[in-house]
Amino acid sequence: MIKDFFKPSSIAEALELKDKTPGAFFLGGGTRLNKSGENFHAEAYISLEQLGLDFIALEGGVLKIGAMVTLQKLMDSEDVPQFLKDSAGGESNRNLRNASTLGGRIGYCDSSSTVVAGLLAMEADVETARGGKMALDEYIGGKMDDLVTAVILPSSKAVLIQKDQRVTANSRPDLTVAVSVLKDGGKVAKAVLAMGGVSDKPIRLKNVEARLIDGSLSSADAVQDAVQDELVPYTEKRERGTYLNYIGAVLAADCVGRAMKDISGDA
Amino acid sequence: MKIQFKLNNKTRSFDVAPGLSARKLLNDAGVRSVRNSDDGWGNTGSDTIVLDGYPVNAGLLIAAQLDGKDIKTVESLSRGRTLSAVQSAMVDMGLVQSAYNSPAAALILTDLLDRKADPSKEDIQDALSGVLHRDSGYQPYFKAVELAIARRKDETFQGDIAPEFREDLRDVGTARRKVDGPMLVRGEKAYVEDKKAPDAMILKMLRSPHAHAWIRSIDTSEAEAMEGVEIVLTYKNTPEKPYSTAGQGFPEPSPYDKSMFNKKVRHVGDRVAAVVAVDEETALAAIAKIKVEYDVLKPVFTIEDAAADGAPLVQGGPMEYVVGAPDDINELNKGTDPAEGTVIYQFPIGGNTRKNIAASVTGGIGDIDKGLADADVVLEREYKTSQIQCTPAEMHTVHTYMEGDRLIIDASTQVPWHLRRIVSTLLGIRENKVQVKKARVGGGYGSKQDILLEDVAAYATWVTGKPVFSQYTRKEEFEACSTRFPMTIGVKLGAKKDGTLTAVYMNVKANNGPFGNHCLTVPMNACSKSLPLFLCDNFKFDVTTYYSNIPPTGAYQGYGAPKGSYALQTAIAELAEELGMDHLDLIQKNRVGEGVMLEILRCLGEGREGTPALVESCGLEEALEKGSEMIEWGKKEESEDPDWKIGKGVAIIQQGSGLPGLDQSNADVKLMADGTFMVHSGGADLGTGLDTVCVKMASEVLHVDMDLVSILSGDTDNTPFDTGAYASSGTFFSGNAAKKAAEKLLENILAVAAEMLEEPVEDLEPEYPGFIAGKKGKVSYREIAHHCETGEGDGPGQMIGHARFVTDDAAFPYGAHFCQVAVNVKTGEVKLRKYYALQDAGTPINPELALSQIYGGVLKSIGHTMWEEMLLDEKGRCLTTDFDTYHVPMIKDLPEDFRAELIFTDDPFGPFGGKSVSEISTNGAAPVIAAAIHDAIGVWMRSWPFSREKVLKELGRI
Ligand SMILES: Cc1cc2nc3c(=O)[nH]c(=O)nc-3n(C[C@H](O)[C@H](O)[C@H](O)COP(=O)(O)OP(=O)(O)OC[C@H]3O[C@@H](n4cnc5c(N)ncnc54)[C@H](O)[C@@H]3O)c2cc1C
Ligand code: FES
Repeated sequence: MIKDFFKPSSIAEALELKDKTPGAFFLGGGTRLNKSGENFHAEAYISLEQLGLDFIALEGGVLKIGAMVTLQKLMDSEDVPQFLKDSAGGESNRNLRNASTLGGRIGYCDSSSTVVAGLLAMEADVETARGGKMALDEYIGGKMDDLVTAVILPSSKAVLIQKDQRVTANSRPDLTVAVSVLKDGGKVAKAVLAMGGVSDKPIRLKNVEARLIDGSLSSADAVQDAVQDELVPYTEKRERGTYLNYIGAVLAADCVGRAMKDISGDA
Repeated sequence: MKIQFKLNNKTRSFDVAPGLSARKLLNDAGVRSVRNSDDGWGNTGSDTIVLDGYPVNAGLLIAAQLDGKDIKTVESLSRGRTLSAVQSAMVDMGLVQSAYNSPAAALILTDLLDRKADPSKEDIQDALSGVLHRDSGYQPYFKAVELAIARRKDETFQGDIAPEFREDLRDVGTARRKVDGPMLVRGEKAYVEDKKAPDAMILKMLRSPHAHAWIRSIDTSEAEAMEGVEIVLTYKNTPEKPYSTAGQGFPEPSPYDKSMFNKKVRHVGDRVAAVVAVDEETALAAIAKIKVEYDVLKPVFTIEDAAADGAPLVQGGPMEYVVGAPDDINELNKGTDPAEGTVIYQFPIGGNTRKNIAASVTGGIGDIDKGLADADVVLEREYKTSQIQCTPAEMHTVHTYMEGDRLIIDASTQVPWHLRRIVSTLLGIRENKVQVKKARVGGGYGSKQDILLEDVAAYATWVTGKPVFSQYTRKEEFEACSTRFPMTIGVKLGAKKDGTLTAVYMNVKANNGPFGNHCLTVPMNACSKSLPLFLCDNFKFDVTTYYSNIPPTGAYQGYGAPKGSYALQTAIAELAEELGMDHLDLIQKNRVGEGVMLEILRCLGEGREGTPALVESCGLEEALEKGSEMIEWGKKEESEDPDWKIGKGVAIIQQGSGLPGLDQSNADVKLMADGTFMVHSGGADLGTGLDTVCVKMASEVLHVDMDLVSILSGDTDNTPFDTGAYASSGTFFSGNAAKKAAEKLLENILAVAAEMLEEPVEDLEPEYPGFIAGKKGKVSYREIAHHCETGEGDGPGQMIGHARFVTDDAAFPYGAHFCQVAVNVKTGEVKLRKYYALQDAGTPINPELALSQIYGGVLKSIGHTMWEEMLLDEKGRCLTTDFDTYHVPMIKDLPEDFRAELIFTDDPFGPFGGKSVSEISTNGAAPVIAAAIHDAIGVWMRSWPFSREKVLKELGRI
């Protein structure tokens, strides 16, 4: 039950309110906080609306997106790369995209969030109010209690591919896979394989990433097998684990295959 | 806290609790159009508002978030009573049917056109992506947007809305604006919730957490003592009188096997107690104070569990028969427990509660064994269907109050008269003391054919004298409503090498859940709407319906037909493979056609002897010919991507038009003083356009513009009796009654006009736009009315035509569905590339609404086939009670190329040749998609839903 509603006008004020108000939550669009069936037990909201976080800035090839930018505004921006727009479009329901914010997506960090998985593949950094700039990977691996003020995307020539598996267009994905491959002289210089839906938050499959770089995965089947192996500790604990394990590996192999093909086509 | 915002350009200020839902705030501020379909889960868009230029869900916002904002609701779109271009286009394209979410869609499309002058199909899908719309399958939105764009430029633009039929008629067969469309798209007060008295008490239900248990003790004292609580109802202080919730013709082929509250609970979500209190918070707080102790019993969930020897009995009380008790009734009733309540059968339907059997029937023609023996090929298969929820956008709602000594029920119902009968019987009051007023219905699809909350609200009002309002939550819709029965259907077919069918056998086993509402009729329809599609000398069917402790089942658009059709049509497809024959050739060889006498109907009556019927009109030939051209039947399509395989499928379908020999409709048409007309129809328009059908009947018969005819319908005080809107009866029964009443009125008018004109009646004819013309002169309806009502003070009185419609003649609608799928063999994904539904609705009375109904029915059944499924845990709790987990089709799930076509036939019995259209549309998707998947990847999908996981299992990938 929300007893208090604050609308601070500075980040410092927002942090202070958070510190002194038990049960207070930072409020983005509220599409998760206010959704029925959720159990936030929020007692107060600290609205982020007046903190000036609704901006998209491209400077020197670095893209900075304020935490209060809605998914729809992100998709409407000319400065945002298509890959991230598509990740945001993974929320198929436009009414929701009109309300939910980038910060809120990260703050909630749903297991199969297409946006978080996409940002992981892009090796995004987040700017936080107390901890400063850090890798998104690190932020979501931590306590996630710091206020995210912006997402920072370095410029990259990596090829990015994302796929997901879901029941209907509007269903929350069962699983989402985002892959980034950067070539250097025909070789894989960097690879990121992010997967949502197999753990409580989207994860990176670092063994497979390493093997893509060292070239030891030479076929789609090999990628699929390697992903299946790396997923076992996650999927064996989950309901429908066999299915998730299989489909995660199939989608990952497919994304990697496409990314590689784009690279060879490019070279 | 104090907040201020602009609402439709006016500044409004409120002092609110900050956490109050923005939707509730707007409702309290008088904005009715911001509605609630899913209690703030954010999946349906009924609560769409435009906030600072962006459509969002008000149910996902709290009041504090509105502070300082600019808010627009549908009320901003039209000036006065005029419609905006978007609104008029939506009505004209047949999109405004039950219309609960139409205002939201209108708001969103207006935003779209403000953003993009010429949106693509994808833009439209994306804009409407958050709006649930069941009736019209979204497809007509694309054309509506084109129309709206043209009308924004030129208000007078009419456009090509739908094909036209019957050039000889003025309104019938041509798209005309649905009579209640404008008010609904404007978001005006229309539904039960809009009628709620300001001082209405709120009724909330305490529901059972157990699937099967005795209530050992229940203590309501603390709840009753709470301030604001009016009354708490349990089995202790309510009538113990068995009844059936099924709104069917009386005497019903459904056992009376529950009381308003029972000492034994039979499903998770079963009624335990009702609290009536001043507001929802108090009612819920009081519910939390009720102390209940249960003795938990072993539940049964599946047909196998229920049929097993020694299975726990769901209905363990004694059986009684009003007529036709079996000879061994006393034997059967030995050891039964009266505390469970008596199960009363009106007449025998093969029930035996001692074996958990609610109903059973067997029948056929010819000799099935001989047919099988004569066959060169015998095929035996089994198909399973899952439990599906109707998911109307408007949840079940009722408002009851007293007017003097009379009980008034504002209801969202398909069956006003059954509702009155059931409530008055249960309450022990006479029908003259009860009035049921059907409001606009925000979607029913069968679930509003049952009396699910009206009885308790009515009782609470009757005993307290207070107005009572009650509305289901979305969770209750899943746990305590009526749903599609899960069924297991065995099919055995015999055929000669050349494909001639020699034997057709269906063994239908249905899982009825805790109560026997519709227990005979739904599974019977699996046979009666499937078998008569084929010609064969030897048919047999067995139908058995089992009691269990799953959430209740009941009627759902198509009754059992979509399931029977899935089983039989898929078996025919499998037989074609077995015979090495083309599937379409096999259908053509054995299908029904015009002029055929359907002997099989003799044994397919609804709990009584049926009558064979002649197929007077049948559009199958044209539907199959046209559909196979459209889909390029026989041409194998290859995909460039080796992971994707393409396949095509076909299925033929049929339904009935009401229940000849059982149903009855009545109507009155009155001439008013100025020469206009009023239709009083008993029919219950669920949004399908039945009121428009009835108005067209009168305008056509009387040769006047539709605008000169108004209608009042579904009101038990003010309109005559009608059995109700189910079994595809609306157009055929209620439409025919309105037509006959108009003809009767015309007859009366002609007699008076003959006197006035001093010409013989035979020389007189009605003449557009409102005259009776003779050979010598003519007289207007206004003059006739004046003469009748006033005259020289001796007028013959108001001209009224009354008619009833009953018949033994049947008008069967037919259709053929074709589809093309692409299946990904690695991920199991099935893409619906093409779906063509070709349907014979006789003369489509409202062609735009008929097309819309077809799209809606098809998409619903695509949902059942592919994605929707109620899942229960091991305790019988439904795990899918919201739209996050229960996957209904939304606009982005449409087949890529989706077309509905109306095949014209002239039926001698339908009103102006009209037949039913909507229920039949749900019968094709499952078999046609199953056949196409098989054509693509060689596996047969023999159970719903055809999920990706199941496809992968069938392919042996997991
Ligand atoms: C029908 C429906 C379907 C949905 N489907 C999905 C889905 O498929 N995938 C998915 O990921 N989500 C889904 N969501 C959840 C939700 O819409 C998203 O997570 C959304 O992006 C949250 O954004 P918001 O701005 O509305 O966040 P809010 O609801 O305002 O906040 C969500 C959480 O993030 C925190 N937060 C907000 N902003 C910040 C910030 N700047 N820094 C730190 N923490 C912050 C909040 O305190 C809260 O804990 C769905 C929601 C609905 C209603
Ligand atoms: S008109 Fe949309 S669901 Fe009925």
